[in-house]
Amino acid sequence: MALLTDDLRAMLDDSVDKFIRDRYDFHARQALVSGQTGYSADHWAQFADMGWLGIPFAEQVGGLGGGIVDTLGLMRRFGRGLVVEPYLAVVGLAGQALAGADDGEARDAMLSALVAGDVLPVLAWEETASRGNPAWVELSARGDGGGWCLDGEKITVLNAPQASHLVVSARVAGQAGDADGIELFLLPARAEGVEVTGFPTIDGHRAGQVRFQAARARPLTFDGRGGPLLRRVLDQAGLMLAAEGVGVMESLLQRTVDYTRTRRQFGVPIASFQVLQHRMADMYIATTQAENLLNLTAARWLPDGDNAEAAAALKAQLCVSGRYVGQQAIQLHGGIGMTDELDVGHYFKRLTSMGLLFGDEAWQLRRIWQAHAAA
Amino acid sequence: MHDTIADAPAPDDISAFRQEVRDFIAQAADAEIREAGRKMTSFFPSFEPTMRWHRILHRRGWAAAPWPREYGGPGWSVEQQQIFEDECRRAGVPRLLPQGLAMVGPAIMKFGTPEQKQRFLPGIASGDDFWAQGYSEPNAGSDLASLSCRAVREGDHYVINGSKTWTTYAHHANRMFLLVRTSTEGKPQQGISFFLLDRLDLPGLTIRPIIGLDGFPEQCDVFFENVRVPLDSCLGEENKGWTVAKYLLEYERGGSSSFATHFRNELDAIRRLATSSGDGFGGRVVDDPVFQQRYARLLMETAALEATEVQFAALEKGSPESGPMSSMIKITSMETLQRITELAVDVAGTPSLTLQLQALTVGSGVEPIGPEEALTIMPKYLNNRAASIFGGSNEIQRNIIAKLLLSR
Ligand SMILES: Cc1cc2nc3c(=O)[nH]c(=O)nc-3n(C[C@H](O)[C@H](O)[C@H](O)COP(=O)(O)OP(=O)(O)OC[C@H]3O[C@@H](n4cnc5c(N)ncnc54)[C@H](O)[C@@H]3O)c2cc1C
Repeated sequence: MALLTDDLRAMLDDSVDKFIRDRYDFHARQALVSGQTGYSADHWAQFADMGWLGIPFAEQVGGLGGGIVDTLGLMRRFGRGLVVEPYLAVVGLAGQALAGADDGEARDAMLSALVAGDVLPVLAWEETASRGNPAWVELSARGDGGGWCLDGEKITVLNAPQASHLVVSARVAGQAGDADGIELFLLPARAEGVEVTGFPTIDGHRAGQVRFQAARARPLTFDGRGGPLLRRVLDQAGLMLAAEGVGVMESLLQRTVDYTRTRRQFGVPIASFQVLQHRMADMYIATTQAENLLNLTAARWLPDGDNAEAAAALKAQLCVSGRYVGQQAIQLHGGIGMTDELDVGHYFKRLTSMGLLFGDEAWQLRRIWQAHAAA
Repeated sequence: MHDTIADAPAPDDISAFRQEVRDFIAQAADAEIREAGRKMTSFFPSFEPTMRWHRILHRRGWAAAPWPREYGGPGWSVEQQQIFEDECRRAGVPRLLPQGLAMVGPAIMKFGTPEQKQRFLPGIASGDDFWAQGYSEPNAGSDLASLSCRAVREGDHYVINGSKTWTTYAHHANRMFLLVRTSTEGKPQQGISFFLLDRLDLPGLTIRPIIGLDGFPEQCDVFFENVRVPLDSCLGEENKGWTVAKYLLEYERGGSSSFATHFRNELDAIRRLATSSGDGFGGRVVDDPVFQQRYARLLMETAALEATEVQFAALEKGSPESGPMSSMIKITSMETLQRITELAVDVAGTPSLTLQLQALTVGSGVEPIGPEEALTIMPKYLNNRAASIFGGSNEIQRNIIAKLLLSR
């Protein structure tokens, strides 16, 4: 459910539209992608000024007092613009984890700085053997005389090379796979004992592997509340990802329809071939189903409840729709779709990563079944 | 079929032959050539090491495996060629580039003058020359016959104006075969000529590499501005180039290489990765029944494909069934390949998202980030989206089959 007023949401949507239009054409985007930092600090400052970084945070930390659902309009537009600024990682993942933290002092200090655009915390949760499972945590946290030390490794940490802070899931008790015994910790990204191997990803974003060796960190959660919080954060982030995905898919559909109308072969526009018409009809169906499922899921979202089945279904639908729309967009463009010069391939690659992030299709289907069978 | 069986060596000889091939590859393929094989992520492996491997094979007399002996082939039976191909795939050496050996070479054998054969075939067999295929144009892709790159006679030369695109490895090539329009009369197919360019460093000819989805240049734009080439550049008669092109397309589409072995190797690699990958529940991906079913389905598809390949090999090129059969092989092989690369991505998970241009470059010495087996998985997935586009898109292939069905 949205928390902000319709007026405010419409205003936000307009401001994002304007930003994409004025500042984010494909060439500007590609320049960011190939630049040193992989995003624009100017843009980020602008996001802070516009209030975008504060959409889902409380007013006491400078936020707009909205919820995750209120970020979906922005995410959809970020999808259309293929925005590479670390909004999902910072606001959606680390920010939401911080917002749910038990340590009120750390939470408020970090969130105030986040909303102001002064810090870039990111979330490190995935491990080599975890696939989609946030409970598969081998990385350990040991208490030693008042402090905590982290040891272990995280992979595919979104925006790790750009981060100022890391929010890390760590095991304080039990075995990898146990839902209990997981807490979240906070530490500076350049703290002693932290080694970040950063890299670009195929979709123009950045990520990293992070190794922790006796790295000192501050606990954000207590009494095993880290595990459930992490699950909730990832499910919410799945909503944001789906919104971005819908933005990507509608862009691809539009480009494909436009292209097949103008591209001529055999003396006619290729849009006149029925097989391509049907393909585009199916792209439309795939996009619209994802969009509708997103909207209904968002409307019925339980901010503090169990969204497992709905979240898994939405992410699985994103995988299925995204794969189809992405692949067919390339196919219908022919050779030109295979090039780096056209944005179509970049939309396709973004959908490809989305399919794998936060648990792939097989993983989500398994979750749907588990949630369904348990109910 | 019977002919080749009659020619085929006895089983004892066959196993000796296999051993001979295996030993040779083991001894002759150096580290860089193997690296090029391992890092092959599309139909076109890294150019330099692949051409070097080509030349090494040529010195052994094995580069032009399917060629008749008179043109420098080893004179092998179909079975021997198959074994050679299998052993190459098994050893993981790069696949030789097809443009010369499998495309323009056979076309020159069939349509070339004795002089052209003598002039061009040895360089193709030896790997001293590399030929790029200049068919497609910005406005002539699926509808190739509408091509408009023009060649006009002027004295003892043709003057070429226009452009080609998607020309694979033109930036590495020293020669090019291309289709040009020499007449605008009659049906579009009628005014096309097949040209052989023996050099590309010609005034007015420029080549611009195109970066692909995986971040590497592979295809090129080729521009012709008053490029003068000699009148003897034609293969076959002037304005009869379409016949040559069609003959050659059939070679490109199916039957000239064996996919089944290649697919089984790819599946083996996926299985290895699945064996060492956790499923997030404390088990291994390889034990997941959903994985097993997807994998088994791909084995089934590969078996059916192999059966069709065997059938196709027994057909005469240019026979009534061979056209649709080659379309069928193109569709099924490329779609299976795409599904294989999709499964690989799912098994590799998020580590496959890492962009590793340097580690993928042969000879860079840069170690991959994350598991070595995951390095090539994403580029293969991306590059093989083209598998249903090039060589006549899968839509076009289905049109061909449907046309045949409805004309009966
Ligand atoms: C990796 C790669 C390597 C290549 N290498 C070479 C090379 O070395 N030399 C060379 O000459 N060319 C090469 N090509 C070009 C290739 O042959 C063309 O891309 C192909 O013929 C399709 O043409 P197009 O790209 O112009 O797409 P288009 O013909 O514009 O097709 C766009 C879409 O329309 C569909 N379509 C077109 N006509 C019909 C129809 N009648 N019915 C139904 N659907 C239809 C197509 O299937 C496709 O989905 C290469 C292409 C790629 C991607």
